[in-house]
Amino acid sequence: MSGYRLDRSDNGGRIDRSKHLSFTFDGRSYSGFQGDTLASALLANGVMVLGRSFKYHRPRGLYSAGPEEPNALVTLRSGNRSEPNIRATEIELFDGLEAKSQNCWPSPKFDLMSINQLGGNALAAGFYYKTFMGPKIAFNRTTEVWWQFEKLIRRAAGLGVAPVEADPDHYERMHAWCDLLIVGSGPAGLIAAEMAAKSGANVILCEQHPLLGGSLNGTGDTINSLDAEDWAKSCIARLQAFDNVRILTRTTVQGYFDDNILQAIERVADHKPVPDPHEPRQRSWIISAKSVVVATGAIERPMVFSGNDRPGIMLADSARRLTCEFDVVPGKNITVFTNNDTAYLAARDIAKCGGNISAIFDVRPEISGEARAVAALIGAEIHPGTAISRTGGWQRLSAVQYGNYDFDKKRVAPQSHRYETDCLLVSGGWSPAIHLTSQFGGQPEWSDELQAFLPGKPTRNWRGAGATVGAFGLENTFISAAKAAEAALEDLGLETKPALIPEIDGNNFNLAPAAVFEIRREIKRGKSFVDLQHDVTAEDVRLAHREGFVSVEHLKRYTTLGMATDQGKTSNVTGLAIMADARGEKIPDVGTTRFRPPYTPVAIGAIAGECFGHLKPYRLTPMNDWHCDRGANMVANGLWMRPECYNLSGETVEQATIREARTVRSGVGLVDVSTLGKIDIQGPDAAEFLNRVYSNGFAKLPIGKARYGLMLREDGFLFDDGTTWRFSEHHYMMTTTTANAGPVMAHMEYYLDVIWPELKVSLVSITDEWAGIALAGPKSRAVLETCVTGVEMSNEAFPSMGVREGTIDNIPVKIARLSFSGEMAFEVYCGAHYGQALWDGLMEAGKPFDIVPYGLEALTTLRIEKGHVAGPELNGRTTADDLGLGQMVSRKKPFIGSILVQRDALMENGREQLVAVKSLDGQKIRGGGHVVVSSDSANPGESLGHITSACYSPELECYIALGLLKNGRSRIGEKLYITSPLRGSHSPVEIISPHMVDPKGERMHG
Amino acid sequence: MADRISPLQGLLIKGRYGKHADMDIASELVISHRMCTSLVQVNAWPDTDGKVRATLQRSTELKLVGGSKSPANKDYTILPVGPGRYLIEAEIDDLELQLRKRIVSDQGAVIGLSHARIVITLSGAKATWVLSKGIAVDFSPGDFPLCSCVATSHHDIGLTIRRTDDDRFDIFVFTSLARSFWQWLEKAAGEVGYEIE
Repeated sequence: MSGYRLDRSDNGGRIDRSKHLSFTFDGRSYSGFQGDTLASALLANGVMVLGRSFKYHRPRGLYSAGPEEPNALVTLRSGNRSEPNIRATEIELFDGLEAKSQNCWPSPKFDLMSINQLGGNALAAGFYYKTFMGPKIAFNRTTEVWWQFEKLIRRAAGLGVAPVEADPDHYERMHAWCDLLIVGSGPAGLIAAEMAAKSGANVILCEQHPLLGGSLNGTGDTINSLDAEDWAKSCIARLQAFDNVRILTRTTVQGYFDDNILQAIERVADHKPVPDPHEPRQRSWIISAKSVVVATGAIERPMVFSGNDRPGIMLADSARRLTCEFDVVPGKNITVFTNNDTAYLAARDIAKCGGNISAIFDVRPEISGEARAVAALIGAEIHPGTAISRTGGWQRLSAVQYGNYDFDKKRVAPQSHRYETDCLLVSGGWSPAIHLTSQFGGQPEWSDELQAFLPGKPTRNWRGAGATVGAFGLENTFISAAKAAEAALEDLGLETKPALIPEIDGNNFNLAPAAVFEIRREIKRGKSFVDLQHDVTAEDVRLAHREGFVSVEHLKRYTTLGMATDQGKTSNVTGLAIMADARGEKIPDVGTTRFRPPYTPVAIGAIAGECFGHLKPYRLTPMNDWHCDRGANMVANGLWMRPECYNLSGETVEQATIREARTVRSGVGLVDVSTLGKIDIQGPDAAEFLNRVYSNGFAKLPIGKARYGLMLREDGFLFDDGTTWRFSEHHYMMTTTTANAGPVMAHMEYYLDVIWPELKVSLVSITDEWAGIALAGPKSRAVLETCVTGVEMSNEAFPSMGVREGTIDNIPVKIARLSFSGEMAFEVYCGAHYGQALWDGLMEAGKPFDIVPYGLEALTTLRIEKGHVAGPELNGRTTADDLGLGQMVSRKKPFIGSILVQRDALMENGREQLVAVKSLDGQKIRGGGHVVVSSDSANPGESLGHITSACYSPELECYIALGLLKNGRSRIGEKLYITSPLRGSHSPVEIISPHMVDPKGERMHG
Repeated sequence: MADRISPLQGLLIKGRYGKHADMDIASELVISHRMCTSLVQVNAWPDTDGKVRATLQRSTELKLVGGSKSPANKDYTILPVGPGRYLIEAEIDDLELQLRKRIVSDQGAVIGLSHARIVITLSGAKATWVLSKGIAVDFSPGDFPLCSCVATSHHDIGLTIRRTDDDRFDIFVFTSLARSFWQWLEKAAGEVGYEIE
């Protein structure tokens, strides 16, 4: 094939000859025009070999002009914008475009890996399964040897390479609603859209190409005495004038999901070198459509014959599009091989534009008068009843061999004739693009007449139109689209006017193909490809049959037929036909695989949308900026960002943590606890509700007091802990752990809504309403005494677990005397918008007491020293008794989990219990390390438990940890080992009580 | 008393941004934000919704017509956010206190949320386009007419959205998530260009 650009002065088709564009392919510069695709521009420049095939590394050229392209996959752009496996047929040319061929080295023309072709049948179907799997039998180490080659072989067979750099572009989502979504803007889509627009329906029309009109562009048909393209333009102009029609070009509808929701990808800026500033590269449309008209057309099928993959062989209608829309003719001496009349229409249009069609080989012995008339008109000789048996040439087609075709034997006669040609256009019939309808469960139905699968019965509110439902030919297309639109609009309750079906001139061809998919020869020679993208041959399909992989699902997986980026758009039906022949059954009896989203490959970025660089949103406390300004290292705690510690110059995290924790023990520190979950609980039954939710008693909690509570799951395991404050008779505030606020809220709402709907209780999250600051340390009360108004701070007036209301710097505050650190401590809450002002006020008040802020690490250190449990201990597998909190599980009242907490498994001896451990050799204790008896690190023996939380204790001046140990409470005083083989540590420890600091609580209560 | 500090303080600076930042053409999207003087949620019990609605109507001189219609006058806005659940925004400081006096615990619960949300306002011809990028709500006037409100979410961020004019929307955002939401909004709005008031 020697493609060339027509020398036309009328600027035919969609290209603009006044705008020259430069681009490179494999580093070599070429030029094209505005409106070209990369495929059309390369063909116009005579570039015939665009890449190498998947397994055999055979030279491959352009095969189609649309999304079905199996061969011309390139890597587009470079650096962090490089993107592999993009179809050259779908790339709009822009100035400076860079593209590279794939799966070849050093170039597509000379590829060292083409040596694979010498492998013959060794690389046939099941190669990987047969080669890399198998027993290791003595003296037969073949499988093991192959394992050594596996990486090399896998590298040799493949597609493009994904970039490792972060994508610099941004992607976004768009939600849209419409009465009628029309997929495809060919003749069917346009007629349906205009009918819907006139009825007042809210319409979205999606077209995958930049130009509306689909198959009407460049066709030689006439509609209402106008060139079809002009008729389409006038129709599009009318549509664009409607306010109720949204037209999306460069937008491919990729998936059809529940509730008539469809996803479409709009390539907003892919036709530019880089997106404009602030412009997304692609936009994922989530379209909720009351009804859908699927007018996606059909995809031409190839014919399978020996050497059918040579550059220069391509689909007939794709050649028509290249010629008529881009002024690029795929060869100088073009021949056609077909089993149907549509190839004659393609030949007619190509010849009309100036292409030279010399011969048409048609397997059908009888050819319609209309087709013969076309051949006569364009001066092409017809060879009825013949088939191409093989082809000649290497990197481009040079000749074909043809012979008489015997329908009974399904073979071409051995006697063949040579015909010189540089381009062979093939047409094996058409496969309606039923991908969207099939995705949503419509079982495809076989049409004997069309030799194709048609959409099955709609399972949702969609209707097919045009070639999608097998209505080929313009007149049939228009009639079917009008019916589809009318039915859809009637369903929507909209008034429709009878469609004016345009008059079509001269299109009475027989579009049904002969049932011929493969041209077999008596002598097996050369490869006949079914799936060009995955190098699956007709013999592979028969091999799968011989080896027992006869179902379509097994066929697909064993041979990889229909996999990869084109998902078998040109190969599925042909592969099924060959399998049906091998099984001696009809094609519909063999069945077909369903399609799944997406219709064409989608960039991961388009799926991620705005979730770029993060999977979840983040939450910030009101004091976040202060923490950041002080150089705090912010770490994620659930969705929240919290300060790890406030490092002074030169301090490590551990040093800062030790300094902060020591200051709290000896003086006073403050920590941002705004992240704690807070739930407002109100109602006449609030006390009863809390009493049922918590394992300990809450019915008699006095007003103005807080109480620590344990919450169990239904199965008796611990769920969460926290304090609940009582403000008035029917008003409480519950605090939860930071990470568990959402689950606790959902847990309680479930019980209120489903189990106890009779209780009058209101639950509202007020986590964001209140900023929280904990002051801890022996001087915390003194700090508050200097700044709080309206609260008597003495030990008697404000005892432990007391709750008071007052003001600090006129800011209304709620204060509770609670301690997580084991020191005297207070939690001070105010409206979130005052949070920073309160923090500033407390820092100022604390200056005389050398107050310091402390972070999450010091908070953790302090609670470990005190033996207070947190998330690592409340891990969903521990009970209250395991953690030494058994006395908080009431035996007098029912509560959530009260029955199952008493089951044997949770009461038996040998359960892991909370203990603390102290390092005996000064080594750091690792969280996750296991407790063992053996001193032998190489043979540590059975694990008796594991470490849950670890730190350096400034108070004990050694490394300590909390852990869960079998029968732990009875082992206090024992010397054991903590082993962490992955980290290479094995250290002696002593088991001690978890209450390492102030076990009597004198500091807290003092 | 100290000034209240918005979580978006320092981020929403008056000016023009995005696509038309340097061009002298009318902006099709204007963004502003406010902290609520008072924002209170009232939850009625299943058998007291009528009474609570009557109390709210008397207190605010607004008529609750049902559904998601969110009535407003110069002093009050009521956003029905669920069955028997109402958010009330007002330009008075002590709304929570006033409502607590009128709605006792036998009738319902009154919860102060003045610090729990901030309100971001989008107005202009492109407001719907930008909102539709992240929020799965049909904002067409037919489905979401004037004074409609909806409780929805964007990327796990709970939002309450109210249409206050043909092309104007109030978005009630959780305070702690406001910056995360703003980060998305400024990116989404950049494509069409926007002005911060």
